Amino acid sequence: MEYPVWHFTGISSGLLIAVVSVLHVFIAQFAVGGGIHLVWTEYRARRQHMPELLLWLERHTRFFLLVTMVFGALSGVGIWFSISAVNPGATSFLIHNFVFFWAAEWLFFLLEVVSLLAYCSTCRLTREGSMPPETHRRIGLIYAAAGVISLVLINGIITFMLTPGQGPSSGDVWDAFFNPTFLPSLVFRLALSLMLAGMFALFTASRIRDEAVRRLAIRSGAQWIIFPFFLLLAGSAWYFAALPPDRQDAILRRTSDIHPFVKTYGWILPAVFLGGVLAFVKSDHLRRPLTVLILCAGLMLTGSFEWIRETGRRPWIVEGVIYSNGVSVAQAERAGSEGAASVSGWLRAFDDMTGAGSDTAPPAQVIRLNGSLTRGALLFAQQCNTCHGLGGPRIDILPLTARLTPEGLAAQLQGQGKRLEYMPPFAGSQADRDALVVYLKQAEASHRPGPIPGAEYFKPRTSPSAD
Amino acid sequence: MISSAMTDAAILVPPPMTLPAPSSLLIPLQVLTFFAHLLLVNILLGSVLLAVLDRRSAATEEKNGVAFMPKILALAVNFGIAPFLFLQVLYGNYLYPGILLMAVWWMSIVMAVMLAYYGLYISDGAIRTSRRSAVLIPVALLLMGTAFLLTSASTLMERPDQWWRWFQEPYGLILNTGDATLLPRYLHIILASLAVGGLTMAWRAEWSLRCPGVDREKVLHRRRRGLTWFFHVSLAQIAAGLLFLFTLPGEARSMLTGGDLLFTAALLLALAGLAAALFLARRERLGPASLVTAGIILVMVCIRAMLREALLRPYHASPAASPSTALAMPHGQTAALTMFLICAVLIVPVLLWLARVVLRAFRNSPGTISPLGKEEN
Ligand code: HEC
Repeated sequence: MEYPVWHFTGISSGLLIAVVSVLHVFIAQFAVGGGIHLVWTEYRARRQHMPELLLWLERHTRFFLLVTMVFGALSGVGIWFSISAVNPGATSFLIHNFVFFWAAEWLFFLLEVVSLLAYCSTCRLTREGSMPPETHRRIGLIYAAAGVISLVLINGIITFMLTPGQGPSSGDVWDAFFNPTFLPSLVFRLALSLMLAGMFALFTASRIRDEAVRRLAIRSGAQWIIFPFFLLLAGSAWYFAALPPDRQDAILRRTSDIHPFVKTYGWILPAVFLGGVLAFVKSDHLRRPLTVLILCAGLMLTGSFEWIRETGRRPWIVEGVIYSNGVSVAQAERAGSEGAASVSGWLRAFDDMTGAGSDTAPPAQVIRLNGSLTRGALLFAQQCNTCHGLGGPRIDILPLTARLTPEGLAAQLQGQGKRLEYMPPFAGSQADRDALVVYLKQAEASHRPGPIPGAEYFKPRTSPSAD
Repeated sequence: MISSAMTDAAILVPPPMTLPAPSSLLIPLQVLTFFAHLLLVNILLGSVLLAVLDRRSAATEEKNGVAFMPKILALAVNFGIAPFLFLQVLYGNYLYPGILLMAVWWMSIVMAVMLAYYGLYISDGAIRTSRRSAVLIPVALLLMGTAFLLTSASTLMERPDQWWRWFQEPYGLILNTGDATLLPRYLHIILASLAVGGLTMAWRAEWSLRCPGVDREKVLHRRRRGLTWFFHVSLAQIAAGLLFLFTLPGEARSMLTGGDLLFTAALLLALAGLAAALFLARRERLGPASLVTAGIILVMVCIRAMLREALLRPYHASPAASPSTALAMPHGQTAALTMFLICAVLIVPVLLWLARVVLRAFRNSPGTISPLGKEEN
């Protein structure tokens, strides 16, 4: 509310974050599991004297580096860039409270970068005898450990958002970090990481020329999918059981934004397992396309899980503290009694400029307002756009409002957050609600020609002191 | 006039959030990590630019000629994270609106860096080494664009009086072009990168002297050439610096030119350093010249941090400024800080060990140039 908004009402702004973060998590967890996979496979290949397998591992390491360090690292920056542009209020909240956890994570990320570069650039030297194999393995172990520690650190922050536990009430950031889903989520993510490592191993192994080596590499990769799968199942169940009842209900809720993803998750989970089994059994016939299919399944698994976690949190970024749209509970309360402008300098400035607001003098800067900026548009962008698109993807609001008369919509806004508990309460006064209703009904009319049902009876009250 | 626009713009500044640790600790952390980031960026951008401008001396077509670049990029990105994190803590309420106003550009930074990164790997892997430079041209453009956008972001956050433009252009396409300091600042950064790129060229030549069977004459020429780049670009930098100084708002400028003792002393220190570095470069004393240059950059980063505080002070102090929001979880922050500091100390020996074993392996291996070189399959 205190921040301006990046105005692109068509699609919901949350969608941008969702897309970037799913891609990032997919690769970042591959990085975590992949580190363990590399070290273990190298160890085994050396013990069993399989130089061809080591050669494949060298190529796989380079592939791993190109995927995780370039795309993984930059998409991580991408998440950060997008949340700070789309939801600065919530970002600021998390950053200020968890800055030292993030700073520690940065250190381990630095260690990951350096050790992976070292590991990758000494594969050949180890093969040629310039570096003892134990040293090379130790470098790999450092990388793997740094990856796991990074995961532990970020896991505490992510799980806090879904289950804040004692943190907000005790005011202790460690209570927040070690929250009720910290452990189950860690188990879940580690299992998923190992499986992703297996899937990516299948991808590069399918191109090995030597038949015997290929079979070996594929079977080993398949095992990395098959065994951690059970851990993943246990982790999922534990995770769900550790959620408070209201979050469980939220996940089982049948709204269009979450139900399809819960269904997808239920289907894709066994599919991934079957993919692993199939790869193991038919290792001689495994070709690139099938491994790509398995990877896609892995991406869908990651994506549907993250989506469920994100939407299951609604209407909160942090339960009890700050809503999905970045409005804090305190702000919502104040806005409810004193109007949205009381908690938004940008809205106050807007009111000053348009003369809709108080008696304060207009600003020294005289600006021609952008035509599409109306008070209602601003309110929509600030409070609804993180979840709703407008005539575009992700919970398009227009068909939803079309079902309601203007009075119905105004009433739903007044009661928002009470009856439909997946939405935050509307933070504003009667006049704010009216402005939003007018905006939404006009948007509806411009998208769907024809009279607005009931519009002729609707008389918005425009005086801000009407409440 | 300026001050009235400022008091008006103060309404747009969101309330700050209480800091989890004293700013006397967070600011040095921000400054130091930003210094490391800037140094790496200068090395990278300078090297890429010189590889395009002075292909022969940059030796990019030699074996392992560009292999160090993606590695430096990886580190530069990594070291960008920490100062960005601390900047958000210290100045989030200024930073986020700035980012938001240029959101589309801001998001494109990620794409640009990713493309540049892959470009560097492609260039490194190019079968015909003469193709390398051709790939480096788009990489140079992408990195220059990134530097421009980041300059814009870090100045837009200091100019709430420019934020009004959002009401005209809310689509995230604003650049801080209304700010007279933008171009001089950008020029300053590019020239600094070229200067550091010159030093990097000289160091690479110096290191390659150790390899058996190198053409000493050629390598010494490259070393000299790098120092020459450094010398001439740094001379030009004086002009760019002056231009920057004179585009600064009057108050900030007068602080740097005698109005404030600390500001002026810092600027004089940097200028004295520059004179020393120029002298050392002429004498071909690469090590001392590089050290002094790093010192200048550190002083400049400090000036930059002080300047930001000075530019923003009227907004914190404005009667229209909002009171700060309390931290939700103030307890346990000291323990968290301690954890961070302990990790920071523990990580150093591990990094040193890694460097040692890698260097040793490369020394043991016949025919490999440097650990920054490319491994061959
Ligand atoms: C936290 C995310 C979130 C936010 C923020 C949000 N909504 Fe919703 N909204 C939803 C979800 C989820 C649904 C249910 C969609 C479905 O049924 O498929 C919904 C449904 C609706 C509906 C239809 C309700 C009904 O009777 O079925 C309306 C109207 C609506 N939202 C308006 C708004 C307005 C106006 C705002 C901003 C003030 C807003 N929403 C903010 C998530 C959100």
